Amino acid sequence: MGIYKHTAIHIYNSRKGLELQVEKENFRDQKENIKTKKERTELFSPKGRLTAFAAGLCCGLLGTGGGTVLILFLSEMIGKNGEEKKRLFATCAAVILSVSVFCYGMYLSFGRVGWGIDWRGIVGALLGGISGAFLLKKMPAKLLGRIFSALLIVGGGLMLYRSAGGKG
Amino acid sequence: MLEALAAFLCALPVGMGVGGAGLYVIFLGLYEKMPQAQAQGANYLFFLFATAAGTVMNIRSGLIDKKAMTFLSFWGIFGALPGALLAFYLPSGVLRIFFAVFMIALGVYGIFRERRK
Repeated sequence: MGIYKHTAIHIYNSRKGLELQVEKENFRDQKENIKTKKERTELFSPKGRLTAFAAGLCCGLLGTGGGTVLILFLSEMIGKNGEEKKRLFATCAAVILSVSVFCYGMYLSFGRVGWGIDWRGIVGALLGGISGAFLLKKMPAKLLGRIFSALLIVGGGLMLYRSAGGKG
Repeated sequence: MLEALAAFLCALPVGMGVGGAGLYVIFLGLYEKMPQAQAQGANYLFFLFATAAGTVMNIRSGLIDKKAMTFLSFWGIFGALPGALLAFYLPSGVLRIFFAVFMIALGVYGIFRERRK
């Protein structure tokens, strides 16, 4: 009888231990879920709204840069979770896409762009975008980011030089 | 042909997700000598097609948070309205200067961000 009691207590303790282990893991998952939910709720906060407004302002005024503004400020709200960051980047791209559609409509209705479409540019853009998505797997984005940043500085400098009356 | 090549090269970083739409405006302004507002308008169309493939892939893989996207888009459009109206009424030269300074700031930020990482 003693052996059975000892075994029963052992089984009970093992099961209890297992239950506690499962409870601990569930609690940790819940904590993670709450943290993720809280981070995503931050997007709907006044700071999120202001960031989106500023990104739209940038997009409408300068034609570009809205995505950078969105990611710059919104990624501070989202933690280091890689999956959440991926979702944020994808969501920001979709937001800027919809804002760009609206801006293009505005520019069309105010006559700042013509109704005619330059197909060469569009075909180039489409092929470039698709190639870029494939190239991402082969080329480090960091290197291309640096090249792109350098080109922006050079291009911006040339535009300033041209605005100041220089040839170019 | 050069325009197609420039659009292709400018769209490469867009497809990779590191940006690049500003480069196309710079090309249109410097090479095609387009007025700044017109170049920006053409850039929207460029951006639409450059991100089309990536966005479709993101939608199919369920990466886009639709609720957040709708909410942020609403506020983005709300901000784009005064931005675009301001762009229409600013002289082209002034708009070009704003744009150039912003591009330089973005470029510097990009380089320092990589260094910090």
